[in-house]
Amino acid sequence: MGYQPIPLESWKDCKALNNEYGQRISRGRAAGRLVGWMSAVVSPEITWAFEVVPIGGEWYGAIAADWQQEQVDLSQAAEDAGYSRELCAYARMSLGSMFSGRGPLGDFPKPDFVVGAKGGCNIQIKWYEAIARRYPVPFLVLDTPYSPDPEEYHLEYYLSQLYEYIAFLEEVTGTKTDEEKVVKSVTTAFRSSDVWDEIMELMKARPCPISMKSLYSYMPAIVNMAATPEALALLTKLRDELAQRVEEGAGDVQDESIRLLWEGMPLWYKLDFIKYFHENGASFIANGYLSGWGNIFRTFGDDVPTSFGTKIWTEPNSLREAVLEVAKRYVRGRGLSHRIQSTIRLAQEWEADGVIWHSNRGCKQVASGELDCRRSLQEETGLPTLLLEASMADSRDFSEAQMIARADAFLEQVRQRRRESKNVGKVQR
Amino acid sequence: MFTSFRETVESRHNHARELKAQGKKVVGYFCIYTPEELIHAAGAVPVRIFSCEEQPTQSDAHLQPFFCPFARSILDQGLKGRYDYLDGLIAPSTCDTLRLTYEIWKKSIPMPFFDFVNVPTRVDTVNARTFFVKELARLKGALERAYDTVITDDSLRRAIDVYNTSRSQMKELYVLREADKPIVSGTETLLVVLASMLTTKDEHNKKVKELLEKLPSRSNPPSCDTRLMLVGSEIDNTALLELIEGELGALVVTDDSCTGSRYVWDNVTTEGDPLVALAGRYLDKIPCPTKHPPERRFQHILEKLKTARAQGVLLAFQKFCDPHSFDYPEIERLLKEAGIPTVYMEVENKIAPGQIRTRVQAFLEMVELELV
Repeated sequence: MGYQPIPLESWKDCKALNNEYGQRISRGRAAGRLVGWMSAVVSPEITWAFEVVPIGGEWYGAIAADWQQEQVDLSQAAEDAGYSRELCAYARMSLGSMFSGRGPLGDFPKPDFVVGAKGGCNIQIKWYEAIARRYPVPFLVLDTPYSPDPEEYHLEYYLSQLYEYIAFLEEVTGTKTDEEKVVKSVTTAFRSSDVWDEIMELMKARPCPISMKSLYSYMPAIVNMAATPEALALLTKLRDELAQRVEEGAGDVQDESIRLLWEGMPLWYKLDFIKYFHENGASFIANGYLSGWGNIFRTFGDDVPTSFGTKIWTEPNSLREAVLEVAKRYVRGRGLSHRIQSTIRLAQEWEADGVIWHSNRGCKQVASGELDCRRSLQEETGLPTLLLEASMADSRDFSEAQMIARADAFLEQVRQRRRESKNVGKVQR
Repeated sequence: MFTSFRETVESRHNHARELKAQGKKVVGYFCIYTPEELIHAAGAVPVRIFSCEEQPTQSDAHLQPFFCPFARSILDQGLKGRYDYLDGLIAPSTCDTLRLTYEIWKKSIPMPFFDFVNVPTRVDTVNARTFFVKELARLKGALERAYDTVITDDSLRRAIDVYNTSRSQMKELYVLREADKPIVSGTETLLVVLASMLTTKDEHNKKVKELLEKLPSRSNPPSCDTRLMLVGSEIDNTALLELIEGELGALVVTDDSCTGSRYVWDNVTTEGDPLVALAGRYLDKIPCPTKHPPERRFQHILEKLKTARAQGVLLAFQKFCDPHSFDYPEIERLLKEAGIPTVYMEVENKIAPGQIRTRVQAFLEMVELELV
């Protein structure tokens, strides 16, 4: 039959919002707003309450990776400057763009300030140090304490840094904090997360109403712009149209016969790879990287370790309450056992027939533990699994022929298991 | 003079077992941001886990090939039961790889006690200090419970004293190497430092004191054709230095590495609350690239270069070591600005002597030409 998806109604709004994010940078600078290079985990909730233009390094890395042949040139520029090819591919995209002066938005957008954060990994700090080194602009680093079981003093440490960030933005912009804006920004961001959770939930439907490929395009809305009313409106629109599809039984892959969990980062330069699965009747119904942008503890319920009751957020009425909600979000229990539990829960609750891990070369944080995660999931659920070695943003580490061969074998394994299984579609418990 | 140090390094497991036979508890650690003084004050012996030359076989099931050889080797040894005598394992928050290697170890290799110490990434703020003091207080409580002991301020002060003595004495070796004709080599210094991480500090202090007394009258000082500085990540065996100082006739007169000057340079202040003092030392010490801000390390490198009058720099990093790799371009730039030639090499748990020989030989020739 072939893969013939129904176009999403919210798609053009999504494209418009994404373009807007890019154009803000040039427009913002022309309007005298300051451009800040920062990680996505530098509280966008607080950032958007100030008149600055944030550039998310990960977002830039993703669009640069999609820049076809030029993306290899960017990495080469970083390598020529002494940054090893073994380093994080996102970092090589921004650094290569910085050294060559060009990138997916045209000229490299120079920072007026830089903020690094150890939210995703320690390497993000090194990445932003490298950017800040080249430009003598204000530079701040936020240190998220990682712990499997954080206590009050972990939260206090991060909270004190959020206030440091606010003071930093005041100084950089020469303005005073507008408390109402912070409250509004935080509230909007959390509401966006709620909607995102609902979208994740809707993907439990059979057939799954949206392709993971399309969903990646909505990521800037939830990752970088969640604090804006426009992003909330877009996500709400997407949720509503997906809910409609679910009611009508309309799926993205209409002849869906296989449901897969994808673990790890996307292959930003080759998102079409997902279509290959769709053409073989397979949907991707969940992805830890996607669901992590929601209120993941809400999605999963009570028995996943949490901290500070982040399952339910409290609507803030003051700056103090708003900043505390943000802190509670970022200082949560994390570690290998959390990750394994989360992955198994995703596979079970979303009723996956198989799991694919993307072993992202150069990405220590995400790649380590994957092999243990895979083993634990196999033991717990008996699901067929596949480990694909590639890179999220370096196409040279991707071999299409190899991927297709492995995907074919894997899909056959999944089909075989479904044929043999008495409870078709249900995972072993 | 260095035989007993070499023996400790080469028979580390037997040595650890001997300590256990004496009734001591032995606690393993990966990285020098582990607050060893607290372990010592708990009556246990901190023992650093080093890589070995054996090719990993079992760790491949847990860590992909693009993780540093150090992590893969230590996990492999853990999985093979080489460290089954440990009474505990403590890992600090430094690089992602070691943090995750600790988690994998914790999941796969039972130990009587595990602890992850949240050393802040930012080392320059009051808030980080406040946080770290609380974290150390937590660790103190955990050690007390694990080893059924009480760590008093006095016992912590005594531990700090032992460690300060250890560091000061080893730092003396660095001072001796700054002389025109150093009486101790880089290899020998490394042996002393590595041995210090594998045994009780009290015993080691005695040996180093004796060594410092004997050294001025040694009859076989190392020869010194070219003075080199080693800037490295984790170097836990002497193979590389033995090749460079032995065959190739250069002398490593100073270093910036975690099994070198970064371990011995900074002491704990003896004023005020000992836990606060301890937190201060670990935050103020010459940082590893995983800590922010990095400038203190760059300054240290340039200072050591100057005081030891190194003529060239050997940059030896663990393969796939991201934090060091990110700092490398800046270090290279600073050294170039200072007019110092450099040679870069990747280090694995087993060195490839042929390759290193060729590169370093060519480098030494270039250094000599520049001098002329």
